[in-house]
Amino acid sequence: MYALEIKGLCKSYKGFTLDHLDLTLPMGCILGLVGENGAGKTTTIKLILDMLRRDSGTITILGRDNRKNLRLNKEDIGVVPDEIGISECLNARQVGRIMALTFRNWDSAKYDDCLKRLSIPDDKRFKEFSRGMKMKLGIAVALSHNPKLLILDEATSGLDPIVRDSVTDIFSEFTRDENHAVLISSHIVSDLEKICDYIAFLHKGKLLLFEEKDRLKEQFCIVHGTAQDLADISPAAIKGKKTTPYGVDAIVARDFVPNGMPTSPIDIEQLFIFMAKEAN
Amino acid sequence: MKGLLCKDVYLLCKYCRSYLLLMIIFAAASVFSDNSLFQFYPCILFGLLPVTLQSYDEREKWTIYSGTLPYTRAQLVSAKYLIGLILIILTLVPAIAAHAVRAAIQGSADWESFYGMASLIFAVGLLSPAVLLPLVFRFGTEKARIAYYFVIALAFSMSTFLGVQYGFSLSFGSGGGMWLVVAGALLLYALSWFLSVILYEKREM
Repeated sequence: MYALEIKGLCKSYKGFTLDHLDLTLPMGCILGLVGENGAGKTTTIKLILDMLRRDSGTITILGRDNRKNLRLNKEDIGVVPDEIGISECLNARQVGRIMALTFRNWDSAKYDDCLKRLSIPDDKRFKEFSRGMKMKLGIAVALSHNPKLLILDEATSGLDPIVRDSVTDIFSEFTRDENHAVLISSHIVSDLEKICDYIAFLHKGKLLLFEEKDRLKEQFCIVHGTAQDLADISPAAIKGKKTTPYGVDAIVARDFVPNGMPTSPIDIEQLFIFMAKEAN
Repeated sequence: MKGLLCKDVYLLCKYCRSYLLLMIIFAAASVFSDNSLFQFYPCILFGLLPVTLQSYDEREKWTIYSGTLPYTRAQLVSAKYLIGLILIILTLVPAIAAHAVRAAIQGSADWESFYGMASLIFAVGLLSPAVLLPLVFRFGTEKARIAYYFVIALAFSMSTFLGVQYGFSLSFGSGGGMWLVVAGALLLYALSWFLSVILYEKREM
């Protein structure tokens, strides 16, 4: 069973179309949804949560249609949206009481532990929290009702590097249980590269690529050469290129790189930037 | 839905404490004044509190965050209608107390007029949220603002009219017809509730 299965998902707004999105997230894995602002990451997440009505396609969460028995689905999902919409006058203790009345599986001890671990004061009003602190409270809430699937929309943006590191550790720890999975969207690709098993690139509502992260690194490399060198490579194998006064850098499928041509390993951020520019 | 009600109670305690004071002042004033505005004003004010709460929810992005929680749209709407109903019933308590004190001072307990007054307060209190909430759930509080001012003006005009025509409540009360007013208001409130659920279910977050 997949934690999340999306097939042929379409949604059109004025000026934007999410075009036949297909994604699968196996249990025990972390899927990183990468894309620039406006690529369709938040739209995808809102469609998963049925906050937006899809035009076509299917979404299955933990084997159940996302629109059937929505309440039951949401009991099993922990969500951290890009803006935590907790009322400004509430403190973490009051939020805990509200959530205890909201989730059937709410674990108060776990919540208290999360507050301690993430250094969240329980008596300070939400209004006085920094963006990072707000995110951390959102993460504490999302983790404290024993969800099977975590959905995080830009959850690490606005956090300082140290907090980001501890938060990504929490997500990795969460997926040690094979019955858990994480979908995380971000444009901070370095965070995703650190923790994700699968990477999906969204660009202007289209899925450019969806692959296991390690396979991507095995499949592609950066070729450094001249325009003439690149002409010897099949265009279908070139995923993107950048021309500078010093030559051409291109992301190329390893199998198509001629022997002796200088290459270097890729990182996911480079791959994404090259592919997005190529798509433009 | 208990969590939603709990959250709204926290918000009311934080943002709307002054309303409670206002209610007590107006109840006290109604003991010594014949002006029915003192009796109607608190119920109009409290009846509009669900709209105020919804505007806080929108401003603080709770409306979006609540979409990630295990609540149906119907529950999100119902929480506001329940809060509204509870608040309007609450406004009857000081009004009844003030009326009893007034009756004790004057040495005449006219329970017919008292029944008429309480019924009218309840009906007027239900009117404002019944008209406004479907607009708020459909268009959001920002866009429904014009309707908000219109309803406030209408509610106050009605209360003034009913104040001038105070005999109206007496005649209805003595005729035993006030239950029709209450039933009509409750029916309108229920229809509004139903409509709001349908409209909010169609709205995209």
